[in-house]
Amino acid sequence: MEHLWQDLRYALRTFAKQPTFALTAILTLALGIGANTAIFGVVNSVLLRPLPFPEPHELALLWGRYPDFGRTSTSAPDFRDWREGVAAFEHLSAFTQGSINLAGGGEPEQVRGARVTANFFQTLGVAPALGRTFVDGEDREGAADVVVIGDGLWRRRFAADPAMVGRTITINDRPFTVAGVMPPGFTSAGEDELWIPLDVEDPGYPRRGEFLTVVGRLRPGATLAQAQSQLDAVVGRLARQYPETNASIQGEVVSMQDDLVREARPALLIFTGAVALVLLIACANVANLLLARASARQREVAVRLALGASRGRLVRQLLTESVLLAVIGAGAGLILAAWALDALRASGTTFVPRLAEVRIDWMVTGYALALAVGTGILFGLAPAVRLVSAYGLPAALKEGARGATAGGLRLRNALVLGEAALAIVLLAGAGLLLRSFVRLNQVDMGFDPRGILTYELILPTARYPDEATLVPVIDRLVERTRGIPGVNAVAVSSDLPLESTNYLTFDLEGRVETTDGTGDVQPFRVTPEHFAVLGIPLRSGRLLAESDDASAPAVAVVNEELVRRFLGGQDPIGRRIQVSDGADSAATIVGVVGNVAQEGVSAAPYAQVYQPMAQGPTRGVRVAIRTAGEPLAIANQARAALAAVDPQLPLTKLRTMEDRLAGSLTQPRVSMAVLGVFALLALVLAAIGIYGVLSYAIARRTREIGIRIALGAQPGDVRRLVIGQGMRPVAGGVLLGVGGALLLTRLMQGLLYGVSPSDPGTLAGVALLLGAVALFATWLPARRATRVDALEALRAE
Amino acid sequence: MNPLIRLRGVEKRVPAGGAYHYLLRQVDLEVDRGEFVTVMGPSGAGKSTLLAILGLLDADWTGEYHLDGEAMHGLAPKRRQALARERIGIVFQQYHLLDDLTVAENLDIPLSYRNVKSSERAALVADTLDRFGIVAKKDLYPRQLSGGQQQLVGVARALIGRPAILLADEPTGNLHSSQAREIMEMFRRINGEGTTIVQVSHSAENAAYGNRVIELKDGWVVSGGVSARAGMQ
Ligand SMILES: Nc1ncnc2c1ncn2[C@@H]1O[C@H](COP(=O)(O)OP(=O)(O)OP(=O)(O)O)[C@@H](O)[C@H]1O
Ligand SMILES: [Mg+2]
Repeated sequence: MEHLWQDLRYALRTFAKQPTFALTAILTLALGIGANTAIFGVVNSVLLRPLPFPEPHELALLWGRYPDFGRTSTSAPDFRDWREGVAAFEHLSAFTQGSINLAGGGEPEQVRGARVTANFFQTLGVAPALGRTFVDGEDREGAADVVVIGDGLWRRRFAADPAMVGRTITINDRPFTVAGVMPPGFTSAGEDELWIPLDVEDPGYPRRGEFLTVVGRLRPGATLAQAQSQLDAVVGRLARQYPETNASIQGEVVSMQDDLVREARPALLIFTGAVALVLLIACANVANLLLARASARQREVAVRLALGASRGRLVRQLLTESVLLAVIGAGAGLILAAWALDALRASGTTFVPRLAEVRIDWMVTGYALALAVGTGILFGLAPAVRLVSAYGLPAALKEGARGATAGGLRLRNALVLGEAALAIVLLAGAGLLLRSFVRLNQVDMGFDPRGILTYELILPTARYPDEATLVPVIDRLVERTRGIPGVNAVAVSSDLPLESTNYLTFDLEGRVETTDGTGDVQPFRVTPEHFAVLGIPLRSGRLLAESDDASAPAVAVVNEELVRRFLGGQDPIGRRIQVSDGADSAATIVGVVGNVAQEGVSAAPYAQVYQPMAQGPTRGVRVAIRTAGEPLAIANQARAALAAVDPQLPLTKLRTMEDRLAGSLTQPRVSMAVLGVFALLALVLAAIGIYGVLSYAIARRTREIGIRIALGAQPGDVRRLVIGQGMRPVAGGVLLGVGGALLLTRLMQGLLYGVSPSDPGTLAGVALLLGAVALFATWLPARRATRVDALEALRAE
Repeated sequence: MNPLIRLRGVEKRVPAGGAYHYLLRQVDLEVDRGEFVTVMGPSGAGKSTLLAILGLLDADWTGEYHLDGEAMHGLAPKRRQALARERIGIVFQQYHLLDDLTVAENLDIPLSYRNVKSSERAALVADTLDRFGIVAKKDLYPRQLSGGQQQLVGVARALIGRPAILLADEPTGNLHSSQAREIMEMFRRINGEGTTIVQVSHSAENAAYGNRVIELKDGWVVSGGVSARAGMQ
């Protein structure tokens, strides 16, 4: 302990004497440890920390699965059969999420909520903070309308009213009695803020109307595997019993935790690997710095050894220095990590779940400290041992540095080789993501997002109680907005492309039963110019027209995918279609339009139906304005147009269509940005490493270069010599790195789109990039070498 | 005919605390083809400084220097370096062999910086090894040789490009007297074959191998700056 204290004081004094060395090392380590800490913070919250429910490992989600299409939600009849047949679950509940119109206690607003079976809260095992949750049978037809609300909604809208239980609030135009308030921090999937009962016993639900997410709690002692095999048995029985609807549906049981992070896990694991590589490069650089310093410290070490210090004691002292460096670096790294996490949150990415919970807590701090001690030993040990053991004592006391450090140079070259290899791997990863991202941006989405201004609006029940009042206000808004100079077309719709999460079952005249996907469509309510605004092409028949109003016969336009999948390509014009959205009558199909991308730009097309807004207006609407010039230039006029129609209507999310789209590209964009930052870091660190090693090598070779110049070497010869020496380990590193990249990039297959993990263009590109940067890093020392004064160098003996 | 080397009023000075410190003053000097001259003088007299100027390693001086009739003062660095490569070989007191290269590779260095074809280079190296009797040592590293052998390699390396002039700064300064004699014998032989030699030496014994002594003191040429023959004209 006494020794440690002494060593620490001595170490601090050494740093103060060589502030440049200490700062460079600390900054390098701060970058490496900071990146690792930030990613660990995310991984810890997202992948490692259990869900905020009691016994979270007992919770599982159950999904249907079509062999060619992937997982789907479940229909009510299937859910009922699963509940009967899968005994491994103590509770099996179902819910469906959506937007809910809320009135009472303030201005009407739209909140996210879920309809849940009565045993939903029991399944999750969470008790309310106030009142009660639902009781058995409360979800059945005829029971009183009750609602459970979340802590956030309770505080925000109802001022944390302690007498909340028993109050009446209006949900979707019906009065509901508040049964309970959930504790802070409780949320079902997503940001749900209120829960109302869902009756799954209603015999009217069709077998192929999938809208339920099923969550179960295992009996004590039961396993997921048991649940899976029981589900397989039930699903098999249903397939035999209902071959026309259930023949190709399988079932899947997934632990809730795994399910939540399903999308984020591969990216997070890749990030974890990437930051580990960055840290290794940082360590190599600091080891290089220490080696350079080691030559300057030989004499000190030799004197200490001569005065009787043991080698072990000296190594300990040197390691104290390097660990101290790393700990200071970790301190700075924690600050960088906090910044990085803020930036990640600010990016608004949603593909990493529970991002809001991520913070620098004691776990993360402890991780950073442990990392510091580990890396301090990792980068400090080799230089320390070399320093203490490599030099014969008498020689070190008598002689200068030369000769003795030849081995040091070999070690340093090996470090450069390693750095180059690691940098190539990271660059390859980032390069592949970049190419994927470019490809994704080039995907034909079926509409043209350029030159469109959009915003969102809710038409509250209080002001517009029914369809008779909704339709005129929408009409007036369209008319007003179209009057703005520079506006070419205006559409009001229930949803814009890539944003709808609405899927409904439907009936279609002459429908062909299919097995290659779900039986759902995506329904849209739109005003006639929707197709013009978005540039969705007409394939046959006609588009919707102004004359398709409430007094005209109901009409619909469908997309090509619907015709292909549900009509086997037969002519759809004139057929009747009825979407189960509460509309009373079936609509006649009058036209076919192109497919529009939905659910992420790279997903397969989905069947879509467009019906006139005038024949069934929605309260939550999106306004899309096609402009001749820059869309944001008319933002104020668009606001004014709305205010002229109704000054009380607040408008939200005013932005261009392209900005909205950026949202659906966040996962690839964030992945690319994160890995890109790490790769850039690696590149810079590697360049610094190459530069450092070469500068040191040049200093050591001054005499040799002087001799060569005296013997006739010209500047070009000297440059070639130095650059050759510098690039040799880099070339080795590039080869090794390309090999490593070929092995490792395969792990990121799932993050890539339209590019092979072993894409030769990307690999060649990153090899060239690193080569160019390395060449630049060698260029400066090479130029310095050509300026060696031969006379000076030869005299210096 | 012009002397091979002709210096007139050459001065070399370095800044020293606001003023100048003169290392060479008003040096007039001539060396004819085929001569073997020895520069002598006390330590700090400027002998090495003079040799560096003669060897075109140093261009920072004033005065006139004609090498084989061509003016070296105000010459472009490229041309100066080219002339140095072509005409001059240098032997150092500390040998200055490259530690990581073998004897043969050390001999090859000057050739690699001249326009010599690689086939010719190998032949020239083999020739030179033979001429200096060090064929058996060609694959050894400098540290495996004695001081005398190392200097022999140093001389061989200075001569491999067939320069007209050999400059040697205390070539035997680090050697025992028997080894020194060997080197001096070698110099005499080379001089006999036509190479002009300018050496710096403290030893009268070494100077006796040459035909003339130039005496330097505090940067001034005290005696012997011009050859006997030149003086007679
Ligand atoms: N670049 C320089 N800057 C300042 N002083 C120098 C420089 N080069 C040489 N000197 C000084 O000039 C003087 C002459 O140096 P030089 O090396 O030519 O002497 P020398 O005659 O070769 O002596 P020695 O017999 O010791 O080798 C010495 O005092 C030396 O310290
Ligand atoms: Mg000297």
